[in-house]
Amino acid sequence: MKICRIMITALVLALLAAGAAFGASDTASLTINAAVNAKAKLTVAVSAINFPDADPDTVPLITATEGAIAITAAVRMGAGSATLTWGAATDLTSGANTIPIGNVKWNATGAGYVAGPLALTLTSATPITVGTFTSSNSFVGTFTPKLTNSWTYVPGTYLANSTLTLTTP
Amino acid sequence: MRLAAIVSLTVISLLVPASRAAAQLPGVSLSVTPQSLVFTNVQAHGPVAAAQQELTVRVLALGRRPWRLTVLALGNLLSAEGAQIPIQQVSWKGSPAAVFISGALVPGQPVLVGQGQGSKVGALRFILKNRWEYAEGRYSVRLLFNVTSP
Repeated sequence: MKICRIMITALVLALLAAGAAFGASDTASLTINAAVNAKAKLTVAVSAINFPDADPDTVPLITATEGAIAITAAVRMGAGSATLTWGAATDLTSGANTIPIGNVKWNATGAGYVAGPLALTLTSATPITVGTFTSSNSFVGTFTPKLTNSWTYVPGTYLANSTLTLTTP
Repeated sequence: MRLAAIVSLTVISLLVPASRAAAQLPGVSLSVTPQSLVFTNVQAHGPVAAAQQELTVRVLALGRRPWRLTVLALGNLLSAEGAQIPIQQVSWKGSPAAVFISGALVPGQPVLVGQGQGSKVGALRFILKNRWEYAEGRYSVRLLFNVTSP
């Protein structure tokens, strides 16, 4: 009986010593959620473009004073594609005189923008697509507007309003 | 002979609870609250989005027992549509800085969050880097915090 008590006491002491040497750990979990909504943001470097007067024989195509205009179309979306359109409400108008808005053309640079020299022509009928973007990102490009020059234009200061619209699916 | 048999049985019955206790208590325990955080309607205009709530971390350790706290992300932020936001875009700022350090999550790899001795309470503010590249969606990811004591 005495031997038994001694052995058990020794055993308990040994286990306590071993327990103190054991490492301890604990774990907890956390879930992180994030809501990302559809979004579109359009930035155009200028709010007006101007074509200076020029001799039609020497300058058949007038480049806008602003040159290449920086444009940024930033979109967040799911499936589908975002589109950038440009439309003019009227022809270039000076009193009773007009210059067809279709005489305004431009080329474009940048991923997603419709590229190529004078690939696009403004129309007062329907906004035309000037960019297509198939993923979420911020797309940087340039537009360089030009006006076809002509001896037929009546002197005057002409004006037309146009609108760029960026739309996500 | 009978005595030896009795002693052997006692050893087995004592060993099982002792090893179980070593895996849980008495050394160290951990709680984090709340158990979920939300980055609500991540705006694309700012460089970062912060979670609306801070995470409170409580480490309970006996006496001045030392401990290390790590966090493991079980993947990237994932949407139901399968879009992903790299988990490295999620970082946190810990306080008090002497115990809870700041850092960023790494996929599939535990990252040190804090270390100290004895019981401590701290706060972690989680931040998501904001990018236009993120696809629209509702994302989630699970993190595992683990505290260990030698």
